[in-house]
Amino acid sequence: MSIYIQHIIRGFIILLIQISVFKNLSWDFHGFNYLVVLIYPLIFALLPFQINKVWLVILSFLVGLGVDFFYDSPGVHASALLLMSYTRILIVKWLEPRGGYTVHQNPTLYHQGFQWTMRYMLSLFTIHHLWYFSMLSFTLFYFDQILLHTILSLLVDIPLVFILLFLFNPKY
Amino acid sequence: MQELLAFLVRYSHFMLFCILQFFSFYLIINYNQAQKEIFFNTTNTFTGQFQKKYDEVKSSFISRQILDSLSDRIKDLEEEKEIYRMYLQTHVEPVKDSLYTQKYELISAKIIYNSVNTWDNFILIDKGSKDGVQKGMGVITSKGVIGIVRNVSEHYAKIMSLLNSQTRISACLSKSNHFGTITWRGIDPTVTTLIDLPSHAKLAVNDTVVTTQYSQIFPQGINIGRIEKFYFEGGSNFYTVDVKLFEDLSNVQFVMVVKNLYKSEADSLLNQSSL
Repeated sequence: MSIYIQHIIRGFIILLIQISVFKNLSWDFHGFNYLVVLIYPLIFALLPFQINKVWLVILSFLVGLGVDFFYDSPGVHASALLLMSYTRILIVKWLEPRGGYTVHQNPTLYHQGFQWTMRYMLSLFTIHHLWYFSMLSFTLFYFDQILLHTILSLLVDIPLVFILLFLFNPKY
Repeated sequence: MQELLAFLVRYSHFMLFCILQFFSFYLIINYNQAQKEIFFNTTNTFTGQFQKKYDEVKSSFISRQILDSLSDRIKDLEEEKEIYRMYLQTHVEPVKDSLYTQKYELISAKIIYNSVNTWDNFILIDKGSKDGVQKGMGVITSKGVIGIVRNVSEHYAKIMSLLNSQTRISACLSKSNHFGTITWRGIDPTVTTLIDLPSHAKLAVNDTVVTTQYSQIFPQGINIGRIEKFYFEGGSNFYTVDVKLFEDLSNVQFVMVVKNLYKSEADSLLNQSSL
């Protein structure tokens, strides 16, 4: 099975879980939703290093737009995912080990180890969530709430991502 | 050229990122109610400042326009005054003749409401009964007739303008004294219709139509417009004349209300029973 088909199937499964399960989770308290779970950035975090940058940008926009259709917020997820996958190019360069990445390595726990993966996922998810909540409120007036949302969301998402990675431990 | 192409290829993903990011901003602003409101409120605070400045500049232009029209008016009056002065120098009349007594008084007013797009158009001016405006007085500008005062309150007066289907103003040709009635048939706010003009009157396009000397409302010879077209309407024995107005009624700022000092006297005589 080609690794691309594997990536596509995995992407669809993650999206399905996102829009059927995590979308419906909420813990409302005084009109403030403390539980926003967004794990679909994982699809783009797990794509191989060698992927064409232009395709990465286009795909992330389209997938983000697809998520937006289910969240009924045209452009918000698309913008966040687009920014995340663009900065992924820079983060991959920033986290590059001294010897460089070998050809068969992928940004997974299996190949890169816990510390690298933690830094990688944390930076990607932080960028995504920060941008997502900024676009959602669309004003820096509530910056404290944006920050609170981001941190609360990261506290749930990062462990969730690592549980999934430990469970399935994908090589690709 | 090659370097430019190489640059474009190398940074194509970055440019694509910028374009798509702009597009998502467009989507966010246009299809999300809350974000839309925030965006337009924020931009409005900036554009509001600009709009304010723009209005200031614009109003200074408008007041210059007003000044121009006023100075034109002053020039006209100066010329008129010169003619009368010469006339007085040559004709010294020892006898007090009613010909030289003042018959009309003008009350200047500013238009505060105007319409030209309905069947029955009205104009509101900022002078009322307190300033001597009464029902039935004529309203003119330096260019021509505007209408007739219909209702008066203490500070305001409502004028039935020429562009009103109920308006009937008697008018004659400046060349001859054949007279008819000015009405408005709608559609074009720059054209009125002169009806009931006798068929033996000699007409030509561009002849001037003025107010008659038989009217107690307007002074004699106030301009109304020029003849644009004349024809007989379906078997009628009277001309129907399209009159192009001199005054653009959709762009008037100042008017004058004509007060006939002897109107009540003339009216009472007219209404007296002939027995």
